[in-house]
Amino acid sequence: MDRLRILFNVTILTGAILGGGGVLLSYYGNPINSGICMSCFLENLAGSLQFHDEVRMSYIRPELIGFVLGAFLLAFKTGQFNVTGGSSPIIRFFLGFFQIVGCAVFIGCPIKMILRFCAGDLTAIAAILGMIFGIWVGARYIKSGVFLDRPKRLPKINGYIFPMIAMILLLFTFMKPSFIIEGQSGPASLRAPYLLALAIGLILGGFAQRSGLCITGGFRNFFLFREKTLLMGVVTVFVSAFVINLVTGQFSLGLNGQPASHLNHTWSFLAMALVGLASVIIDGCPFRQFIKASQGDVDAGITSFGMFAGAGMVISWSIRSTSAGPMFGGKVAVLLGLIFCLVIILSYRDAVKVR
Amino acid sequence: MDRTHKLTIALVAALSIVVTIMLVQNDILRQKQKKLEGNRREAFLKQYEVKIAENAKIYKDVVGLIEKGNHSEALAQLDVISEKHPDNPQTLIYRAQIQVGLGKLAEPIQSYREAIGIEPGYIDKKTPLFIGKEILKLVDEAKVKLNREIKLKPNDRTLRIALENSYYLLRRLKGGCE
Repeated sequence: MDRLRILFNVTILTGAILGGGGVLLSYYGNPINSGICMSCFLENLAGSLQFHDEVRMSYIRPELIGFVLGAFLLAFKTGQFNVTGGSSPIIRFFLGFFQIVGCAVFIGCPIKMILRFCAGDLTAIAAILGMIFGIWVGARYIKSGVFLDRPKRLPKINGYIFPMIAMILLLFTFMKPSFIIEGQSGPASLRAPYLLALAIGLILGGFAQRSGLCITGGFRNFFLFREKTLLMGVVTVFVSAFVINLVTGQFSLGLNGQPASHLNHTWSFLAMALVGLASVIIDGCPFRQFIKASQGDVDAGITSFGMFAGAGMVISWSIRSTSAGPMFGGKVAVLLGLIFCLVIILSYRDAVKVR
Repeated sequence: MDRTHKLTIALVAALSIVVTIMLVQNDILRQKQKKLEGNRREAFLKQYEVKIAENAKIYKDVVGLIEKGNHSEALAQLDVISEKHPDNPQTLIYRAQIQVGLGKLAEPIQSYREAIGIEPGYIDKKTPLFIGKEILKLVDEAKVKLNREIKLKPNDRTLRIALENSYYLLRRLKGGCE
């Protein structure tokens, strides 16, 4: 009975859907090892709305819309749609921005990092270690009392704006107005069937809302309280992605010649350390921020807008990596991001002392 | 509900109706966009057709020389063309093909890498320029040979760069979100 309960635990199920769904989306047409990637999807969205001019990276991914609407609908139905906000909004905006910078320098968000690793891409190991290191550092600061300001209750209308944007984007995907760009080559042209992508997005959004699954949150909770619920979900993402990769023949072990990867492991480590640290400060990885924003967390909404701004900038300003390695701008931006995180932590440490 | 509240609701309703009418009038709705969707792909392919036709004219002599097996003359001709059309990556593709014909390994890999840097369509199945299979064949061959040679000459920098370039091409050929 206990085994059954573990198997059908909502966190485990969410992990299984996230890992398995990510691999299946690649199998059915999304870019290889990028079945689900928040930073890639946001870069695609930014391009589609003309926030950068790389047409090859311009497409409104239905998965993103699904995440938001799935989480919103379930939160609304279960009475968990609580609208709060007002906790250090500008800081959250820039931390969201730097989360995407870190992802762009590694080439992938924490979910894609797992998908890459589970497809046999050994270059992801440096990133995994970096992210865990960043989370560990962040958790130590939290233990010493550093956290952003407490959010307040806000009028409901604040919480509806984020799902409303998703609805408008959904309409754009049907109406295809001329100002929406849709790349016909490159990653933008690699797409899983529309309805499948939307369905997986909706299901995953709902499950993620229910379980609170967060890649960085799993490690953070473990470091802070030795609490393993979310971590079990993260482990399930690894297991399901690995198994489905093997079954679908997408597993290819190696360090060299892996798709959308580079061999500069130091920068992969630092980039994901930035993502880990920023995620701990703002309480959630990029995926989790989207889910929280959909259930009424306006602060997470602000972070998501920061992520979106970052997604446009990383392409426009070349602050990212390519298969050739990290660009100069990307390296500088990662270091600036780490400095920004540490300055925020230091200022809140002072605030703790005053309190 | 006071008067101001009622007036505001009426204003919201009126503005919503105006916006809806504007959207309908401008044909942003589905029918016109369906056409546009079809046109997007056509326009995209048309761009490449124009490019291919232009290249056929520019490189006509080079292709003739390659077919006759006159590689040195073809390379000289490519130098002349690259001065006139410095940004045309097709020069690099023909140069790579000639270098492969001459039995070279590092040079064509470098040329392909530069060409892809300018025009990623060469490794994109959705463009008519796609020559991924040709490049992959060379890269597979190069990996084996270069690894063998590096074992014999571990300090040879050119060999290492060539191997790095091979892996770069392999990463790009495998796709991913880049």
